[in-house]
Amino acid sequence: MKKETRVTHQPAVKPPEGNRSLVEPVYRSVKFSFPTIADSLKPEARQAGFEYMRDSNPTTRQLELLCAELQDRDDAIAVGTGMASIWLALLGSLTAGDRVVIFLESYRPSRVAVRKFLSRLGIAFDMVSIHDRPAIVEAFSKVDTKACLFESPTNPMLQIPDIEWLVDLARKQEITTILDNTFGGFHNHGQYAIDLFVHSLTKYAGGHGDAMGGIVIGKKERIRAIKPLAVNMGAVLDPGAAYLMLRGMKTYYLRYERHCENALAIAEYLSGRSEVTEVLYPGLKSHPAHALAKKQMHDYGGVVTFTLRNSDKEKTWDFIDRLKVFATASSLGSAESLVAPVELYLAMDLSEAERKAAGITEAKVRLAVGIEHIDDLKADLEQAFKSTFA
Amino acid sequence: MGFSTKQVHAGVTPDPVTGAILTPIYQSTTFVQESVDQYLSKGFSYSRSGNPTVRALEQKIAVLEGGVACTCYSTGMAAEQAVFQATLSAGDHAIISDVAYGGTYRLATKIYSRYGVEFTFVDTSNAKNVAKAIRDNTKLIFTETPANPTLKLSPIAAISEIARKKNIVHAVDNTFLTPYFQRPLELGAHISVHSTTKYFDGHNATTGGANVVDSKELDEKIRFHQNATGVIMSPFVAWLTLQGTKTLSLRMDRQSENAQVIAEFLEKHKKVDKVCYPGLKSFPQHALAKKQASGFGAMIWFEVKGGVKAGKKLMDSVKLCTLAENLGSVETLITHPVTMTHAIMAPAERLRVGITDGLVRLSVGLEDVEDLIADLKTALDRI
Repeated sequence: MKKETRVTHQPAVKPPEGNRSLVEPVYRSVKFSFPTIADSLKPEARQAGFEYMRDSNPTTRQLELLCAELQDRDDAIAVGTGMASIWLALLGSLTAGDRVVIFLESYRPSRVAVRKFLSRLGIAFDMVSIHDRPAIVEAFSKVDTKACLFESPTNPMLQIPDIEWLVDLARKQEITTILDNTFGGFHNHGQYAIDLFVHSLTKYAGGHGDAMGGIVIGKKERIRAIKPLAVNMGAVLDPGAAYLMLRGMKTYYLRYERHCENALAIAEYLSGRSEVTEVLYPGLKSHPAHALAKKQMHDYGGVVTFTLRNSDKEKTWDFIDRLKVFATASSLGSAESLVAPVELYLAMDLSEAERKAAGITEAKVRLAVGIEHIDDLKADLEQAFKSTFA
Repeated sequence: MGFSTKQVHAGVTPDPVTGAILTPIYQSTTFVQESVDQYLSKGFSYSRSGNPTVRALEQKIAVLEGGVACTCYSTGMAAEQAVFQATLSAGDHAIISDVAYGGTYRLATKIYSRYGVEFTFVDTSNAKNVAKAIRDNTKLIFTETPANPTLKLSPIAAISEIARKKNIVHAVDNTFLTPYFQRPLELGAHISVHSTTKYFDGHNATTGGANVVDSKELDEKIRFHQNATGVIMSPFVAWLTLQGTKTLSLRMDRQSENAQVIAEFLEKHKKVDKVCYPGLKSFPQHALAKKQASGFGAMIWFEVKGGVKAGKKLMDSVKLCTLAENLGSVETLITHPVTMTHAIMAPAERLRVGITDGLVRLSVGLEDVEDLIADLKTALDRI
């Protein structure tokens, strides 16, 4: 072989039998080959083999299998962002002429996707409050309703829908249920007959704020049905990002546990502050759906939303600006604690009436509690309270 | 600030240009100077001498150890070598723990002894032995506590006191406990040495090393050798280590909890002759472990009945515990020092320091402890 050819056909390094790297290599390869065309057409090659990275990649596949198992399902498709997973789940469940039910209490970009973009593709929607059972029953009974996208706890208001009731109702009408389970995490809600779970891997899965990703998880048949759409959409997760997710997942339980411990301690601390009128955290006994959350979940996540007393926009922003350990940013689920003004960052698409119905005001603050030492987080809030409310 | 807060925030400030919350990976060899007058005004010129991503990790580790400064390296051995280079010249003498990582032993006996440096291997578990071994030309005392693999402890404060009286540098390899559990500089040592490959990274993803020092002068000396010999850490490795360090205390807590449970299980097993773990009441230096560290770590060794053969059989029978030489990662790893890490040592020397034929070293990971015990139980029952 000429050396000019050698540089593109580099020598293979084959470890001896049984000698393996403890951490799977990152497969930075777009293309995969078979010895012969006939080999590439064998059923096992078609099912579990690799051809082109847009279809699948061993590193990404490892992440898919891991997440599916943790969520008590048997298959998954990883994509480039959480929003790509929302799109994949919605487009995979709906066609023109169909209707989707979404909720006022939900993640802003998901609402925008349905209200602004899906409607252009001939897909109608109903947006109701997650607490309005008659409205949900009515929306579900429409003949064209084919899917329902919901969250629990909801972002940013941490409301808890009755999942069993919702899923039972949907099943009767043959409506596909899609749970954005980013807040609850892979270890929660698997026991319910939900058709598709979506997660933003950017949050608790990666956990270190260093990579973006999303995933759709479900039973094999369902995932197989939407796989061609996924391959066609091409919203693939880069293997480098998949590797960072796999690395992040190794401490998933440790981190999630600490996020929850810290969030509960912060929620309790805030409940005792005179500058705060309301604290929303499902783990608090004072949360209206605490009993339901306790029944549905093992733990309650790392997000706490609260209301500042007599606070207008300026005062709320001032309070947020004074925080030092909490950085002002709109993500969540990473080691660092973050803070966001709810109305400005998470509700600008809603009308005034819709905001009112969802309970969103300019005095609301969302904390994405990190894994720092709890004393430092409390001290940071303390100094901001003291100076803003001096 | 609490340790958990420091491990997330220390050394890292949002990128001034974009606000990115994480330190960018500065994958650049060269840094442009605004003018000759302002040479190095931003602190960087060439990545061998300093790189912003590596610097962020150095600052984080310095804060976590309570040190004045830190330098990072491509491996733990590179860090150790920088300590030797900064403190020893031909004609000098150094004292080293008689039980130490095989690499330390090699560095001393195979490399530095060729350049006219003399070494004495001393049982540093008793500070008096150290005092006795000191000569006029002694320049370095290098201890490792807990020592690899026998977990013998050295009293850091007592040895540091002796070293300081004689103007000798005391370096402590703190890899097994990390600053979360043990803080050598606060106990009087001059240098805390780390293989960041272990608990700092924690995910078996990188190799790296670090030296945290108690004075600017010592940092300058060591940094000179880091730059001159070029044994630097790459920006990408520094970035991965920065990320890994964010969960250091969480991992250390869980891994040492697991280790305690496993040590207690092993102690009761009839195929096991002896278990060594600083958290066990039966550990000869249990009181010292409690005194100089706030946790016992995740390293265990035990002696299986039946010598080399039984040790090998155990290695071949475990499934979840992985046969590999590294330690400190989320995966539980198992090693047989006589055939693996310490194979190079003369058998008599091995026995003298307590590395017997049936000795098995366990680096306990983050798995569910029930699964680890089930795996060990099945394998032990097969012996």
